[in-house]
Amino acid sequence: MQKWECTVCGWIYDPAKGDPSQGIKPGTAFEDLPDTWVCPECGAPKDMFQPL
Amino acid sequence: MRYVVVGGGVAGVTAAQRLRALDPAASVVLVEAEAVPYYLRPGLIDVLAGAKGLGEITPYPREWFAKRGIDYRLGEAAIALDLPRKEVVLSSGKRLPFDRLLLATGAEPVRPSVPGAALPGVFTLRTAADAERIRTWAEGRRRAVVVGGGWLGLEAAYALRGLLERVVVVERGPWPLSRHLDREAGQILADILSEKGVEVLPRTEAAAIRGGAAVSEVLLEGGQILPADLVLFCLGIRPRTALAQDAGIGVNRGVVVNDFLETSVPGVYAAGDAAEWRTQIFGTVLAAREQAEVAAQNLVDPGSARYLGTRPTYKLKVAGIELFVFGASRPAGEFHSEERLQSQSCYAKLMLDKERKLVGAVLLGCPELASRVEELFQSGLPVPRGLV
Ligand SMILES: Cc1cc2nc3c(=O)[nH]c(=O)nc-3n(C[C@H](O)[C@H](O)[C@H](O)COP(=O)(O)OP(=O)(O)OC[C@H]3O[C@@H](n4cnc5c(N)ncnc54)[C@H](O)[C@@H]3O)c2cc1C
Ligand SMILES: [Fe+2]
Repeated sequence: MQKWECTVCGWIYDPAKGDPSQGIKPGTAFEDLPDTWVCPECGAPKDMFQPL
Repeated sequence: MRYVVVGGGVAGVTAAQRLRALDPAASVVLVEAEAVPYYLRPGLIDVLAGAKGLGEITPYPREWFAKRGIDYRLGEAAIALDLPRKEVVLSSGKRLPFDRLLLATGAEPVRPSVPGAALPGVFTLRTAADAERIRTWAEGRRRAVVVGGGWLGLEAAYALRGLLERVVVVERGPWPLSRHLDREAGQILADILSEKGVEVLPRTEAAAIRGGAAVSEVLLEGGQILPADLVLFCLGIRPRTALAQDAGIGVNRGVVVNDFLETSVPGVYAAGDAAEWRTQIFGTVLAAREQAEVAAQNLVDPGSARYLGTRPTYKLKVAGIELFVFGASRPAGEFHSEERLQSQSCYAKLMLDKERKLVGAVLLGCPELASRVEELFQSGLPVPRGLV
């Protein structure tokens, strides 16, 4: 599955891992993250990510 | 219901959003002293380096807040809390009535106390204005000294290295990041930084900053002199507690909160870098956000959510250095066993409890392994034998 990188801090969203800190289950595609989801490292919203 | 949030950093913005979602009918006011809309503070390193403009680290335009029914008071500072009348007093003289209040005033850099620290060319870094000022000052200058070799000091030093010929980091401890790294890792990191043009001088402190119209040199404790036309102090943070303290709210290093993130005054909460929870001030975006979420729930429904701490993870944001620290990296006697791997390209140290669960880990130069370890750290699962 496609990984996405935060353009502000470089943190990488890996769908295989999800984001436990925001209750995102492993296997969740980036596109399916809720609009309220933000980068756990710096707080950037989804539209500040780009595909890796 | 009227909620007022003081401070529009990541804690305040997260809380305001959450309050709006949880209580659609309520009034939510977000008071921010700075004149520019919310920006992502970690992105300031890139602004300092000249790699990004402020707009590129500003996630939401002003209208975004209005659209969500958040009354965003940009450029207005809260100067006092009138707790008996339940009002926040603004710099404009206006008063904002509240039913419940969140203090998300963040922190400011520790101010250097050495002689000469007020000379032009001496800086601290916390705000967009700071980053712009430093970058502007660096133009046409050659040598910088960064005082403090913690996370911020090292990242800022590397950013400055892109602008100046020579950057030296002065660190009181025996090696960089000495609060997080052991000697081996610290030494490897110092070597890599040196290859990248950032020299770390350990076991020394700035005794005085000297110069005429502007800074020209730094005198170290041992008598050594470092020429410098820019000095940046990165000595850690001091929570902004004055508002709370003046109003008689319990303050220690930060604004003291319980597990509901409530201060000593019922109905008044605190979150983020301003808050001190079980003696801890985390100083990270993740902790600020997690606290803001819990605080918002309790503002809406007191006693409904408990904060149980944030598991710290750190990554050094210097291009080409893959350094990760998870949890307590130098726990004193709290762990049961230790597993290490040291090869030419990779240094890894895992600290495990009796059940082989991670207490902490340091990984340098092995991003793949770090990613596996992070997963185990987050999930709390035991570390398989033979992982490192
Ligand atoms: C350059 C830099 C890089 C960083 N990088 C990282 C990183 O990579 N990862 C990480 O996790 N953390 C990082 N941090 C730390 C992180 O930015 C903070 O932990 C985080 O910003 C804390 O959020 P906060 O909302 O509690 O406080 P702040 O971000 O400090 O926000 C507080 C806000 O309150 C406002 N305010 C204060 N008093 C008043 C008042 N009386 N009235 C009105 N407004 C007021 C301030 O103007 C400020 O905007 C970095 C910090 C810096 C400076
Ligand atoms: Fe990010």
